[in-house]
Amino acid sequence: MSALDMAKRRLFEDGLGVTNIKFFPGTKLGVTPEQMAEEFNKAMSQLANQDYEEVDGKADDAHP
Amino acid sequence: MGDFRDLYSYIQTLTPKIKRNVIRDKITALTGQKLRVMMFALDLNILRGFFLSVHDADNPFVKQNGCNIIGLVKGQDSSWERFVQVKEMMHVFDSEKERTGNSADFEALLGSLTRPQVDRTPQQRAEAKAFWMALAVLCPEETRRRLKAELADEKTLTTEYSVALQLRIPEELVSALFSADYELNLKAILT
Repeated sequence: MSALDMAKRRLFEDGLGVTNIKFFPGTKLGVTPEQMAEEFNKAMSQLANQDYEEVDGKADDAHP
Repeated sequence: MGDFRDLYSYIQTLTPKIKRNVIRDKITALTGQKLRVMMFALDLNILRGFFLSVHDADNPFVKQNGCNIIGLVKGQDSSWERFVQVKEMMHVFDSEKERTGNSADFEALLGSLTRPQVDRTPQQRAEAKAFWMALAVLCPEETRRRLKAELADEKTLTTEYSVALQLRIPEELVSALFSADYELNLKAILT
């Protein structure tokens, strides 16, 4: 299964019922939809395994 | 329920640097939508961040993670991390038509982010809108006009770099803030 098909399945067919998804592309030009879907699938796996860091935004407060 | 125009009006009462938590909390107050921000280990060459929304309170995913997730990719410069988060938060204001809620729109969106498109779908348009909306909420208009005048005045020491530091936005985006594009796009968004 392609990464793109896997992403579509995860988002819209496996009962998750995503209502909106948007992206901010990375720094490299010439990236393919398949590469982007692959990274997104990794994020979904990390999310499922609670393998992420919460961002509290307090870094903004640390700078005068 | 409030919309982006309400957020923009609120921002005009603030002084930079505008904290992203202040923006997040105001979005929640205006829309009732809570936002959870998470950092992921992904390839920054490919992706800087994403917005994911699921509107089914009974869904186990929502119970665990909340309705609106902002994903940020680790390892970004802090000004980029801030900008990406704010841009993604703007998608709470996407209209129903602008949301990416099916496979065909999703595939078209990924295509447009990686290949030039002559025609834009509402989802692609929402991506562009969110970019300008994020710049607008990180710099109140009065500050923008003052900084633009300072930048044009050779007697001042204001540079794009010093503006980036004052606003804590990426230096690469400062010229966009003072461009004719900014005014045209913001006008289209606010009207």
